[in-house]
Formats: sequence, C-alpha cells, structure tokens
Amino acid sequence: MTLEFRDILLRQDDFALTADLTVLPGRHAVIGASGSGKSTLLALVAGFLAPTRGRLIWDDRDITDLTPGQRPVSILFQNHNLFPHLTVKQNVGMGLRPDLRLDRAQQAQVAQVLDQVGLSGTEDRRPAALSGGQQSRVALARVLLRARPLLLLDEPFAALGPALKSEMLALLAQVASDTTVLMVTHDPADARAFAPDTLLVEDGAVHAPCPTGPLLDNPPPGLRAYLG
Amino acid sequence: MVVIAAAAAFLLAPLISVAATGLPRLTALPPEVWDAALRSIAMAVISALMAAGASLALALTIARGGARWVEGAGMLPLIASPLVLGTGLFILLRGAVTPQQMALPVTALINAAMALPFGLRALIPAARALEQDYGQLAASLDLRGWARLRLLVLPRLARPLGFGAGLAAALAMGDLGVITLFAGDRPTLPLMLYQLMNGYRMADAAACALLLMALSLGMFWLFERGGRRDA
Repeated sequence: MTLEFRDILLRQDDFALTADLTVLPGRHAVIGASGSGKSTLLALVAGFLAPTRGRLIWDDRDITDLTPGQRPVSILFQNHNLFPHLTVKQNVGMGLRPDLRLDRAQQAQVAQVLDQVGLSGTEDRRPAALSGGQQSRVALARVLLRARPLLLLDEPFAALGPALKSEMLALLAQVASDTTVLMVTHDPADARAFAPDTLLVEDGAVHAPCPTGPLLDNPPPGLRAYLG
Repeated sequence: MVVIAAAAAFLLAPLISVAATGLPRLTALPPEVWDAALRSIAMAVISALMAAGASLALALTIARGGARWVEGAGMLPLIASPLVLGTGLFILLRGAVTPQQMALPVTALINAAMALPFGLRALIPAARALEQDYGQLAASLDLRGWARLRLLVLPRLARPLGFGAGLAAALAMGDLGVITLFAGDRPTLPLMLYQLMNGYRMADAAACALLLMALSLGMFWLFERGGRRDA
C-alpha cells in the first residue's frame, strides 16, 4: 500500500507546495525549516487543504476528493487532540463511531485498547484530569481503534519533554507496526530513532524519501543550515 | 463611590417601594394575573429557544467564514425598536390572522430578535474558537451533522447560548411594546400590570410588578445557569 503524490501543486496566498513522489509502507520523518511546508503537506494528505493541481493516490485509489473523515488517515495535531468536555472513554470511542452509539462489543474494544496503552481506570475522567503523557496515550488509543492504514503526526509529543516523548514514540512504534506513518519533527534524534526514511521539505518542495541516517549524516546545504 | 451609591439608590428605591407595597398582596392576586404570568412564562421560554436557535445558526455560519452580511443581519435589531418591528409585522399579517392570534407569537419572535445582537456578541467569538481549535479534529474523525451538534457544538457553546437565551427570556418577559399593539383579552404579565395601574389598583399593581421582576430574574438565572452546569 503506497501513497502517491502525482504532480501536486498547492497554492496558498503567496506560498506554493509541490510534491511528486511515492511513499512506501513504513515510518517516515518529515523534516524541514519552519515555513517550508511540512504542516501544509500533512494538511494536504489529511484533506484539510485541496491541491490546486495533481492527484493524491492511496493504494491505487484516488483520494484527492474525499473529505478528511472518509480518508484512510488518522492524524495527531500539536494541540487539541482531545475534546475537553468529553470523558476519556468518549474521546476514544469516537475512533469507532463519531456519534458514540457504541454497542457492547465496541465498548469492550474501548476498554481493551485503554488497557493496552496503560490507562485502565481513567475511563470516566476528563482530559484535564490527566497528565500530558496520559492525554497523549488517550489520543494514541483512539488512533489504535480507528485502525487507519495511514498515520500523520504533526509534532504531537513536542510539549512532553524528551523522556516522555521517546516513551510515546516507542509505544507508537509498537502499536502502529503495520501503519504507514508521516511524522513531522524538528528533532533529528527523533527522526533517527523512529523513522528509517525521511522526506525533506525545502521552500515548498517535497523531496522523495531517502534513508534517514545518511541524509542526516551528510545533509544537503539547506538542511545543514537548518540543523546547524 | 458617590456615583455608585446614587445609581444604586436610583434602582433600589423604586424596587424596595414596589416590594413593600406588593409583597402583602402577592397571595391575594386575582387568578387572571396568574394566568397572565403563565402566558408570559410560556412566551419567554419560546422566545429564549428561538433566540438560541437563531443565534447559533448565525454564529456557526459566521465562524465558518460565511458572508459578511450575515453578521450585519444579526446586529440589525439594534437599530429597530420592538415597536417598529411590531408595527411592520402588524401591517404585514393584518389580512391573514387576527391581532389576537398574532399577539403571543409575534411578541416572542420580536423579543428573540431583540436579544440576538447581545447573544451574538458572546457567541461569535466562542464559535470561532470552536472552529479554530476543534474543527479539524472533528473533520478528521468524521464527526458531522447531529452528532457534531450534540457532542461538540452544544457542549462547547452552552455558556454563551444560555446567556443569550436568558436575555431573550427576560426581554420577552418584560415586553410592553409589541404586546400593546395586539392587546386582547389574553394579556401578558406586563400588560396586566398596566391594566391594573389604569384601574388605580396600586397594591395589586405593585404585587404584579414584584411577580414580574421575580419571574424575569428567575428565567434569566435558569437559562444562564443551565449553560454553566457542565463547564
């Protein structure tokens, strides 16, 4: 199952993103300077932004015109991944049915997945009553239940601090083992640890994936300046 | 300090005199006053619901980047008095229904419209924040339609909605502009009060005024409180 960007151009005011590449299954980092278009790329795949030109193909199916909810995609944002007025159970249950009319089997699934991420006993709490790391786990539990083959991460763990962040990435690698992941990151160490391949985004141009290690060991001039 | 004291006295002196005169008569009020009170309550509730529904629809349209004129339309009631709107509706509907039939629906409708600009003031920023913070999350989870309204919009906007509804209820409760145009044998509480005063039944009028004040306050409190219940 591959994700193909076919001759894509996305214009937004005076910014333009171009992408013409194929992403193979596996975990990928998305690296580039601020404003280079990393988040725009994710918004394009998630369906929040429509391309001006070109097609987006998933598994030989054209998904360019699908709404965000219809796409084979889950996404974790930097902030606002949970609804603060809903309980943990409800937030996670939305991964199965957005209207939350869950049957018995589905409720059992919710309990099971919460157990899997180590959150048993928090079902009826609101997100505000949880720690940052626990909130991330709730969002991960929902991703697990949705079971979409493509996962987009827009630096969801950036606020967690190094130890918790790598814990989350490890948990993610474990639970999303056969998911294709695109992970925006500012941290080369995260890319090395989590993503065998990296998509470099430079001034609105998305480059084809290349192996993360060699790319970071011997970065092209633009990336070198960014990494410092 | 002096200004605040003067303002308080300006408000409190008449209220206290109404309460002092009215309180003893409250239990002796004739049944038609209580009928009028029930009529007023029903009308105020309907007005509150209409205001909440209309302001919600407007605010969500505006928050999604809807046309500029929508916001203008919501503010329009500021420049038209209830009496002017009532006169317009009176002329429009004259041939179709009798003034009697119009009285309560039109009063409820116009007061809902009057509350709209104030309700929108609170609701538009909240609706914008809602779209900004949770619009993409909802879209990515395919949370749409009634489920979105029930699980996202109503819980997050309950506070400003309750405030707007309470305002509409209090306005409708105290309205004596529109209702006089259509006055009939089924008066609301303020019209009842007016009729009692005209009949020089001052103690009954004071009791009626006290009742009106308590009900207006109570209605506003209930709606506003309802919006805070959960948040």
